[in-house]
Formats: sequence, C-alpha cells, structure tokens
Amino acid sequence: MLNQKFVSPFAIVCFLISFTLSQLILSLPIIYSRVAGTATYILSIYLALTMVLLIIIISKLYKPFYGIDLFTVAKYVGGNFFSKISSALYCIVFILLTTLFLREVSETMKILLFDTTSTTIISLFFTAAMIIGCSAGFEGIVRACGYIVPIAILGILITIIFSTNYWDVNRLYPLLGHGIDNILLYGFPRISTYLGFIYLFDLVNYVEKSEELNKMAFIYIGISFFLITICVLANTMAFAYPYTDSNFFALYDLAKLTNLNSFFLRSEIIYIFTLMIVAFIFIISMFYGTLNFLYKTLNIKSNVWINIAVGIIIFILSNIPNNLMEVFDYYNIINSSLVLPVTFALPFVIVGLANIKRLKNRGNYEKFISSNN
Amino acid sequence: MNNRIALRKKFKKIEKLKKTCISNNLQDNINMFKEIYSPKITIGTVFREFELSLNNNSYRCCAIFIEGLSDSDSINDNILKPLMIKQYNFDNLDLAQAIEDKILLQGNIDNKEKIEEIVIDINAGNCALFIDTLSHCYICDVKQNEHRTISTPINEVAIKGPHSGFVESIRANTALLRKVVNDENLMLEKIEIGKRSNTTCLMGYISNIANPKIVDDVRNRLKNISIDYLLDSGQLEQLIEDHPLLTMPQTISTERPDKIASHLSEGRVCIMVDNSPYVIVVPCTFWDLFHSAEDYSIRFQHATFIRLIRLVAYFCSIFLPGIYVALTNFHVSLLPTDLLFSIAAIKESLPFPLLIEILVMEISLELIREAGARMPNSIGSSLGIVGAVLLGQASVDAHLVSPMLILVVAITAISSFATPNYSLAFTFRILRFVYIILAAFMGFLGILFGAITHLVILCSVYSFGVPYMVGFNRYNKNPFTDTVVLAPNWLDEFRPPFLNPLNLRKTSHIARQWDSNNKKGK
Repeated sequence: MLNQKFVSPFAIVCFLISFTLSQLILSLPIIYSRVAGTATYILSIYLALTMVLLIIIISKLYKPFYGIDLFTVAKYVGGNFFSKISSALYCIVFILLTTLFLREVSETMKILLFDTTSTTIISLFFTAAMIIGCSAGFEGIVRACGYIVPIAILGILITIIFSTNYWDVNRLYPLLGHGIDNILLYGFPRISTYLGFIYLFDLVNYVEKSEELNKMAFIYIGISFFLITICVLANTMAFAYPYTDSNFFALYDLAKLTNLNSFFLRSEIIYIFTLMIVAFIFIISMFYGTLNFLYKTLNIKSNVWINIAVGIIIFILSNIPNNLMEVFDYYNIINSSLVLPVTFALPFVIVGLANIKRLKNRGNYEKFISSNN
Repeated sequence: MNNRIALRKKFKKIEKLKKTCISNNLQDNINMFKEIYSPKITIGTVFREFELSLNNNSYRCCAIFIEGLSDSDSINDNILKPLMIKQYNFDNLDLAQAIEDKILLQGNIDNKEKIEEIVIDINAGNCALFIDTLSHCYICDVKQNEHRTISTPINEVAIKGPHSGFVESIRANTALLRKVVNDENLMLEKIEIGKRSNTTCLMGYISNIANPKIVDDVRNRLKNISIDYLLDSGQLEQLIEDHPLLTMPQTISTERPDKIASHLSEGRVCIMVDNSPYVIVVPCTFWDLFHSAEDYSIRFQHATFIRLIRLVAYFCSIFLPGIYVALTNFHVSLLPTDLLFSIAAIKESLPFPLLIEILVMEISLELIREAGARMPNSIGSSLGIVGAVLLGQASVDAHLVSPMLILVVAITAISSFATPNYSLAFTFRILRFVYIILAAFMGFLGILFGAITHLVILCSVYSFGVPYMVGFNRYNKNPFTDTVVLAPNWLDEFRPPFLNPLNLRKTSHIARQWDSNNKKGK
C-alpha cells in the first residue's frame, strides 16, 4: 500500500489559518478596537511582527530537535513527569478554549439566526460535529481545512469588498488610537490571535520535511496578518469609533451594510455561511487537540467512548456561563492566566532547557536524537 | 435426518476425492468423475468414451466436457476426429508424446493430474481428455466463445469518442482492451475468486508504469477473498474497498475500454470479472468519479465548462431540497422580500408541513425512477410522463404541494441525472434525504453540520493507499490539469503523482514538436 500519511503544506497552512478565522469572524475586531481604539491596524502589525520574531527564535531553538514533537523534547528535558505535565497543561487549555468557543458560537448563532431555539440545542449540534469529526483523525481534519478555509477566506473577502462603499478614511483618525504605549503594553496578550502556534509542534509528524514547517508558519502569519488587518481596517473605517468598541459581530454588521440592489439584497448569508463552516472545522480541530493531549497525558489509545465522554463533558461545561458577556470574561481570564503561559511561553521554556541540556551533555543528546529518528 | 447425514457424508467424501490425483486406470477415473458430476441426476456433463489405435495397440479414452459451455465443433474436429478415425504408427514415440506432438490438433492444451484442478477446467468449459494407462489428463481449451455483440455502453453513453463497450465475456473484454492499449507491457494476471464458483478475474496493469506497491496490494486483496460464489464485479468492489461502510463508491466501475485504457496509462490497476460487463479500476479518488469518458475526447475548454456544470449539478442534487427547507422554515429573513411574500402566500393554502411535502415528493420521484428502471423501455417513458403529470400538476392543483417545491424537486432530479457515475448518483440520492432531515431540524446549521462532518470523514479515507480527497495538494503537482479544470493535452505532462507511478512523465515537455517556434502550446 502507498499509505501517503503526510499532509500537504497547503492544507497545513489552511489548518493554521482556521484558528485565526475562528476569532476573526466572531469578536476579534471589537477586541482590537478596545485595545487600540482607531489604531487597530497598528496592533495588527505589532502582533504580526512579534509573532514573526517568536517563530524565528523558536525555530532557531528547535533546530537541533527537528522532526521530534514538543512532548518528546519535554521528556528529554525533565523525564516522563515533565512531559506528562506539559501535555496535561495543553489538554486543560484545549478543554477550556473548546468549551468557551462552543458557548460563544452557539450564542452567536442564537442571536443571528435561531432566536427561538435554545442555545443548548445549538451546542448539541456542534458537540455532535466535534465527536463525529474527530473520529476522522488528524489527517482528515487538516485535509478538510484545505477545502474549507479557502472558501471561508473568500467569504470574508467578499463581505469586506462589498462594504467598501461605506468606508471613510477620516474614521482612522486619530492615527495612533489609544496611543502606542497602550497598544504595546495591553496589546501583547492579544498574541493569542495566532493560536495556530499551539499546533505547530504537533504538526512535525505530518510534514515530509520538518524544515518546511518554518516556511508554513511564516505563510500562516502573513495570510493571517493580511486578513486581520483588512478586517479591522474595514471595521474601523465603516463604523465610527465608539461604535466599533461595542459591535460584537463586526463582520456581520459589515455584511448587513451591503446593498447590491438586486436579487441578493441580503448578503449577510455569506457571513453566516462563513461563520458556520469556520466554527465547525475549528471546533473539530480543537476537540481533536483536546483528545490528542488527553491520550498523550494518560498514555492510552484512542477510544470512541472516551471521545463521547469528553465531548459530553465539554458540552456540559459550555452551559456554565450565564450569558455571552460572561463567556468573554472567562476568555480574558483564561487568556492571560493560561493560554499565553502554556501555548506561547511553555514551548520556549521546554526548547530552551533542552538546548541547555544538549550543550551540557552531547552524548546524551545524540543518543536521544538517534532513538527518535 | 438420516438422509441429511448421508448426504453430508457423500459430499465430504467428494471433497476429499477432489484433493487427490487421478489414477492410470481409465475406468477408475470415469467412476470418480461420475461421482463428482452425478450424470444420472443432472444433465449437461458429457462422458464420451472411445478407442485410440496407436502402434498396433488400442487404448480406451474418455472426453469429459459440459455441453453448451464447450464448443462442440472444436471437440469434434480437433479432439475426437484425430483420435478416433486414424490408426497411428509412431514407433519412436511413446503414447503421451505421440498424442501431444502428433495427434491432438488443439492449439491450447495442458497436462493436469489433480482432480480439483481438472474439475475447475471442466466447469470453465474446457474438455478433459483421459487415456487409459496415462496418469495425467489433457485439458483442451475448447471454451465456447459466444457472447453478446459488442455494442454501445448502456450506462456511459458518449457523443464523441469510441462507442464500444465491454460485454459479459472476459475473453472478448481482454481483446477489446488489448486493441485499445496496444502495449506489450499490459499485464493481465489471472486470479480465481470463489471457492465454488472459481470465477476468473483478471488484474490488468501496465508493468512499466503502475506502482508495484499498488499492484501487490490489489493482488494481495484479490487472493485473500474467501467467498463461495463471485457473481459480479459489483460484489467484488465491496470485497476489496478500504471502507465498506462508506456510502461513497471507492472504486471506478466502467464499461468503456477507452476509459480503462486511460486509467491504465496513468498507472492504475483494473480488475475484470468474468460474466460482468463492468470493469473495476483502483485506486479511485473523489475527482475521478466526477469525470466522464467524453471529457478527454472533447476540447479542454468544453470539458472544463461541462465539469463546472456537473459541479453545480452535484451541489443541486445533494443540497437543493435541504436549502429550500432551511430557507423557508428557518431563515426567511435571508430571502428577498418579494420572493418571501410569494412563498408565504402559497404556504397559506397548504395543509402539510414543508418537511412532509418535500419527503412525499422526493419519495414519489424515487418510486417513478425505480418503476421506470424496471419497466420495458416503451412503457418506461410513458410512466415518466404519467408520473410527472399526475404527481406534479395534480398535487399542485389539489393544493397538496407548492409549485415552488415541484420546481425544486424537478431541478434536483435533473441534476442527479447529470452525475456521470451511477454509484455516486445513488449515494447523492441517499444523502439528499439526510440533508433534508438535517435542514428540517436546524436549517443551514444542520446542512453544514452534515456537509462538514462528511467532508472531514471523506478526507480521512484512503483508496489503496491514496487519499480519497486528493486534489489540490502536493500529491498533485499540476492540480488544475485534471480535477475540475482540464488542461490542454500538451500541458498535461505528468501522470497523477499521488499514484507514484514508475514513470511520471506521460507527455514530452514539448508535445507539439512540429511547431517551428518550439514553444509550449503555440
């Protein structure tokens, strides 16, 4: 059998972009607006540059361990215990993010489309999708992203292009928004926009040449930066500043502005379609991540019943917040206390320590590399 | 009960007998084969006994064959006449040598000793010739080669391109294929499947193109099928595919030799089954099911246009009724105001919920289709008209369904006819109902729930090691040459890289070498 288990770079980049899209179609423009005021584009540039820097640093640090996933490197640093702790932390982050996203997207659906339907029913559909979808495995999810994400990007671009009539460049003033210092200081936690970073270390097993991962990461940052920038710019230019601070569904509002004076008068369907496909594929990816890290932590094989049980737990947890505002509050807490330290700081700690150990004991390092290749 | 036990014992004895070899005593051999074929109970098996005179000795002989399966003219002219009429004298040759080298006129003969193998040959239409004192028999290939006349493929009609289709005879099919491929590297390996039926299957591939890993995989799967009877290639498809529970077809099934030749030239493997006009091709990707044989006979612009239309037809045949349900039940705000009013006005006078309406109409359509397929051609077309008039017009007049719904169902039906692959069209018919129900539950959310999960599952599927949804990725170096868009022949330089063929290039870098400018495509 040929068994072409590797996934194409195109699909991997699309998969990473889906993490950005999932935030972009929901509340990302308002978050940027709250941090930077009218200077959302500066925040976007700042975060993209920071990400590029982070990728350069981590790729330099990771170079001696190319082709080995993060948790195996953690095992090299601190033994089995450290590896398990790291994967457990990742698992917790994934569970929390999946839970909050499930609730957020269900609430959004309810507000936009199903005003008479209970949020729980909508959540059930997403829960079922994530349980069924994750059974396809990682390759299936990533390949599906190769088909879905280009359509979603097209949907977002159409929404934005159709709203150009309502853009007013004067709304960008003051050009520095809340001020550079505020943007640099309070904007940094928004690095979580590039959440795809979380999966980067797990993708090494699915890429033919590990060196290509760097290239893919840069393409991912480039496309994400482009999409974020045009979205936040469109939002800032289409609506006056104080309003951009409070419209939760910025892209939806942009879509509603469209008036083509023809059959497709209500073009918000494009946004809704985009929102749904991105939400489905993102929640499937996140749930797969949750299970993947759970199995790594517990050192057990994949099991359908465990998948269903974890899915149900996430579904129940997603019903804890009382409303959408509470979901945002939880997001803020989790983002600063867990997501940033675990997804962005922990890899640097692990790889940094691994490099120190490598320099101290070369024999041990060579033994480790040969056993993992 | 005793009778049952006795029968079992008898059959066990016969099975044991089959494992042994024949003796050099003709009468023992005849008795053995009479026990196997029971000529007293059933007709068909002929035991023709006669005498051969050679070197002043006479030998008793017996030809065993099945009437109707074997060609009686061949038996008479090439076996019986030469053996019975003349008296031979070859002093320097022994009996076996004389028969093989001097007497038997049959072109294709074989020596066999094992009873099991001899039985298989007799069942296949060959003649087994037993001669007293010889401990082997001669298998003469006298299979009757009568078959349906080679005609236009019934289910894969093409306006432009070859018009010959496979028939039920595997011999005729191999001849058709060899005529099209015309390459000495075309290998046709014989594999018998079916413990009882011993159905002849041929695994075909071009030895210096096809990836040996794929060939080995196909061979391994075919050789490891444990089944009593293999009656058709449709049955075989399900026995060799990777995911038997998936509704989507995972093999290409065609009755066109030109299509098979095209696939073989790409590095795929075909499987022919005796008595089946459909030949299987593996590995198969989703996009292969989307292509028709005609695509390669017409200009690339035309083929691309037709493929795009087909893509729209696919979309309509799966999603259109579901979208209609979603829009009118859940997302009325997304409809243009005028259309919304007209739908609402019609809905006022209808007694049933939309889901019931659409399910009734779709089931009725399936009934008409099924009835039409089983009816003789002349009645089939009338049935279609009656169905359309009665079910469509009458139900609208009776205010049972809305005219808009009739339009939706009609477009869906026409779209499903545009699907070139029968199995795929069937899958879409089933999926349509799934999407209607999902749309009735949750509108667009339900439809997209189904579509995304289905896509993710399809993306995880493999066909003989090749990703099923391979298309726009690295395994396809020239992704726009043969998926939705068909590139011109002179640009289509490579075989599908996901098949990993031994020879990737299929067209020279400059195909139009007569062009004095020597530029590609100029």
